[in-house]
Amino acid sequence: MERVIGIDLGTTNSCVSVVEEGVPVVIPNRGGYKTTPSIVAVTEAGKRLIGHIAKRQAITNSENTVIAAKRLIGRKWNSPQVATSIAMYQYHIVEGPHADVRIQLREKIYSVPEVSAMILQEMKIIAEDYLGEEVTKAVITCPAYFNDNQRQATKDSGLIAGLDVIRVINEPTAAALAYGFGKKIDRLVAVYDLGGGTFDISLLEIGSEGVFKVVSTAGDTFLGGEDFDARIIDWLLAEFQAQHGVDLRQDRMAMQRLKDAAEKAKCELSATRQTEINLPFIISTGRNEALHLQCQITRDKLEELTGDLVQQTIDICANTLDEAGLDVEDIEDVVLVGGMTRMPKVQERVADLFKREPCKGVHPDEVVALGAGIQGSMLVAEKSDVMLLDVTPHTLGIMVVGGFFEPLIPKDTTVPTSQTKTFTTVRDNQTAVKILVLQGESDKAEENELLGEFVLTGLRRAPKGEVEIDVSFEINADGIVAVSARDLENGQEQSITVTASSGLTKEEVKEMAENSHEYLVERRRGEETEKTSQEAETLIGEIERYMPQVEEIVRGSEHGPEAITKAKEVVEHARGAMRSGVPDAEMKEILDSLRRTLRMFKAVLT
Amino acid sequence: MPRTGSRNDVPRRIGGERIRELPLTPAEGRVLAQIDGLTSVADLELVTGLTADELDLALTRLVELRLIQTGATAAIPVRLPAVRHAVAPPPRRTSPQPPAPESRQTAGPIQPLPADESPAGAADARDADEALSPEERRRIETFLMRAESVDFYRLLGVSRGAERAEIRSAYFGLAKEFHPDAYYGRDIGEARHRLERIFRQITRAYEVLSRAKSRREYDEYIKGQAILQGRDEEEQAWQAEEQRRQTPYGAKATEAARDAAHAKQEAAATRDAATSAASSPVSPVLDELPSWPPPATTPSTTTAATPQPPSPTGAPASEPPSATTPSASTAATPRTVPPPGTPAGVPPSPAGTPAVGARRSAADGWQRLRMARQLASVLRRSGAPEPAKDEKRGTDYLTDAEAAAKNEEWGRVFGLLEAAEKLGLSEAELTRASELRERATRELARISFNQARFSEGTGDLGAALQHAENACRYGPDNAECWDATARLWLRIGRELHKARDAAAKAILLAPQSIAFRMTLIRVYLAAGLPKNARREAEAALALKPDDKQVKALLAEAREQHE
Repeated sequence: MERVIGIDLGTTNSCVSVVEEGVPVVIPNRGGYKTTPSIVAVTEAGKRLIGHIAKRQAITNSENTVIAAKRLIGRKWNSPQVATSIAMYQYHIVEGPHADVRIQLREKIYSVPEVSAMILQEMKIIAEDYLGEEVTKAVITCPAYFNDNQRQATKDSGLIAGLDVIRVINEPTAAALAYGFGKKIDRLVAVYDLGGGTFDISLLEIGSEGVFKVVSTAGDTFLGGEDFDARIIDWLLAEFQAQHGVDLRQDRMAMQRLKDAAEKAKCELSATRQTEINLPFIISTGRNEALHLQCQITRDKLEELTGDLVQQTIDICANTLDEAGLDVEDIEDVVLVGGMTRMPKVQERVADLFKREPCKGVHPDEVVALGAGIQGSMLVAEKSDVMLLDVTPHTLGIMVVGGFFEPLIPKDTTVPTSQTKTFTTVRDNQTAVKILVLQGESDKAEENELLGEFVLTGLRRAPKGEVEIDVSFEINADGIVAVSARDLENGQEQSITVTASSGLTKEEVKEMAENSHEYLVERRRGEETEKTSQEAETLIGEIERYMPQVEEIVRGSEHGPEAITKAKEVVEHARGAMRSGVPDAEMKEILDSLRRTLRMFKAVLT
Repeated sequence: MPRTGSRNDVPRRIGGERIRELPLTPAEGRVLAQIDGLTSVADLELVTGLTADELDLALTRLVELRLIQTGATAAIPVRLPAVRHAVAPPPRRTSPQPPAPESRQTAGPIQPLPADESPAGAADARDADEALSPEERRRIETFLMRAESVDFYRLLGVSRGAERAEIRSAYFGLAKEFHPDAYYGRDIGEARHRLERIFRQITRAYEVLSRAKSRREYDEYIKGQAILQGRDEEEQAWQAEEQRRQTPYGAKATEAARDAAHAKQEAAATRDAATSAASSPVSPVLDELPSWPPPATTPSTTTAATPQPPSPTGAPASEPPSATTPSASTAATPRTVPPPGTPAGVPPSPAGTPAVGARRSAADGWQRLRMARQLASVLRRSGAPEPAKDEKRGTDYLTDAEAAAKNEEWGRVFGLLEAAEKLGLSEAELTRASELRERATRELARISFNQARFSEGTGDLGAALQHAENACRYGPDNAECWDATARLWLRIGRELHKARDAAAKAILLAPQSIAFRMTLIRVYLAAGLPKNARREAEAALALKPDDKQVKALLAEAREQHE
């Protein structure tokens, strides 16, 4: 059976898992870390860096280091969230050809799914190294409150990374899956997921039959740890300005250092009550005088700065309970997911709201990836013990007369589902209707997300209101929306499968996938070369270490000096080849001769 | 051995033979007696208890004698499928057919496909069937039938008093089996749609039953449905009796007795079949319950056949309907909603699914039985139409009605009172009767109103409207009923003059209510009569000068006027 990996593609960190012998495990990266920063950078030399290494060089290369790309995925250029991101991050966010968002790194412009794909590709490689085999199938998670365009963009990212994304599942759902997996419990749980970029709350019923049913879900796709960091940064900027009268905003490097320091302080304040932020030589003034940023920040201060953000999440939770018709007493356990839930204030407020201490049994950074891995293995299993019943997080409907939004499938409807409504023409002799498929909660059509559109033509000319059209919505288990419109009189039908737009055309995605594959091949080759030169390096080192001893021993023998000269030649040749670079085959020969030389040396010594 | 055809063939009698004069063996006679044009060869084997070869021989001979025809028959209308199930397969042989009655209905060769299955779907289904194991196919078929015919409790297989945890467990068990993900990666073709349909229905059942409020409403709905059905029966019984009074007694009495016997037999047979399928004994009244919510009948389907533009007839002539100027960029406006259970694009078949058909005929059977019983009892007591005895009969009905009222059988009360009054009552009895009638109508109005609200909640506007109109009929002085009716017409967006009349009635009954007035304003706006809307809005504002919603409506009316 083919393996399916589960990837938690996070705003700040990503994580990959796989189910082995029925047990889900998180796969560590080469550095031994279980999570990998979702950071992509391009160096001056044009080299692509991903993960920890990209994070480390961010300060000196902030303009070409993409952080929190997930906050931009599937969004339109003119959306307020994009405007906020432009102000918040140092890298260049530019407008794409389809009013989508692109990112400029050095000379090249990348789409957001391409950037995410780089991270996914890294996760794929981590899994392949661990499993020792090629991996093509994956379940990727996304925030529950993502709309279809954002989900499609996430899928496209997978495709570009060379992955067959068999399902995109919601992060809180995945967390619940990992939480309840193999436990045989009957429980109604709330999953509070405050991550780097997004907030989600989901209520789930878990049955001992292995069924996980999402009851309700809500959230904010632009509320997370990044916003907490931003509050600290703003405070530091204000403090610094008050102290020195200098606005650090103008200095990109200073800003990046502030960002790092803010994030670090935030994390520390989860464990201690006070911490110091110390950034020497943060900026130099015109008179060649260096300024230092040094200040104390307390936990109380942090809570004061971010109190409203926590409050927002609590309000959303209360609202969701309300909408689901549930009382806090009905909730039997609370699961905390996402790094931000380590903040004591968050835990306290959540405990206050649900009137119970949150469950401590899951790892907030890894649980989502584990759940994705479980879902992946369960989907492909012959006979599965686990069944996930997910919901559509947003209301689906069409635009009707007056620019209003007419819902067909309300939010929190368990999928698969379908719904039909009859509509009628509004003008005399109207021969066509345009069906605009929308997603969102606003009464006004324009405030909702447009998923697709099509036209039903050939209606009979008749006074308004006489011709009737049935509009049907269908969501299948994969979350794919199909919409059809049918003229009840003549039976004419038009339908579309709504491929939400990720901001990229199919051709673009295909091309990007090819590019990314090429990159992967090149990178693999690069790694191969790296490995051989490393080996050569070691061999040369050893040979040179033994050289004086061997020279001593063989000096008197007949072929001794000749052999030594030859050995020296081999080493010299290898050095030269490594400097200038030679074809793989030649490098192999060089390695062989190095090995032979070393063997000979060793033989002499014994 | 020459085969007479495939096991799915349905032999039919040619007719006109005189069975006693034919040179038949007992086996052949037995086979011939069971051939009714509905039973397939495979079923005949079960019914007659003959081996395949014996049956074949008998059939061949019957064909030779030109007594029967074989070959797969084109759709013969299924008049009484219930009778077919009354013939229980003998237990002595392992059945090659799935044993559950539901699945036999689809497996049988003469049954039409489930009403909303498209022909293309049927072709796919055959391909897909090969990907499914016989057991899987049987389960899917069984549940597809169930999903669209039985009530939510029986669909999930729980008792009416089941605890929430029990309901959840039942649903989760079924969800695990019928969620399309259970067949992930398998090419099962059209069966995937069937799974989706089953899953949708069990999910709906669970969602209704898992919440205290909606469950209470649903229970009320079932109860109300039973009561209203009871009322229909009693009313029809009365009509039948009326008819009897105008026809010679003798013939009618015999007919009634015969009908009673026949109906009783049918009804009992159907109930047996139904109960054995559901494996839980349920009262016969509940057995008659059709699929829920009831298939959208009169308002949505019949009017759909003869569409009527929203006609503001009866409105002042100064406001021509052409006043509406919809925005050019948009195309459609919401109208009616078929029941959520009806899949896309297929009009509800008038016959309903076979199971519903069976249920209907079962209901028919019961109805006829009750009618016949009443007739029989009336006839027993009278013998001849003597005015003196009529009075006594009226009293009897009144007593029955009062007893029924104690049992909260309001539908029955209504019917019995009607009968009592028509047969004649004394002065005092008439007062009692009218009091009782008042109570019954009030109760029926309340029940209908609840049904309407519930149906509206499920999105079944057609049924909701029907119930709301009934509520108005029973309780014509309840403003809320009229307002509900008006709002439903408005939501459906047809025959807005009816909406206007109902809204006006509500205001007449409760002139102080702003909400009712707002309904009327909305009706006028929808009909494109901004002047009237303005007038009403101003009247409403006179009652409550700073109502924001009314002000918004007034602004809309002004805008529309310009």
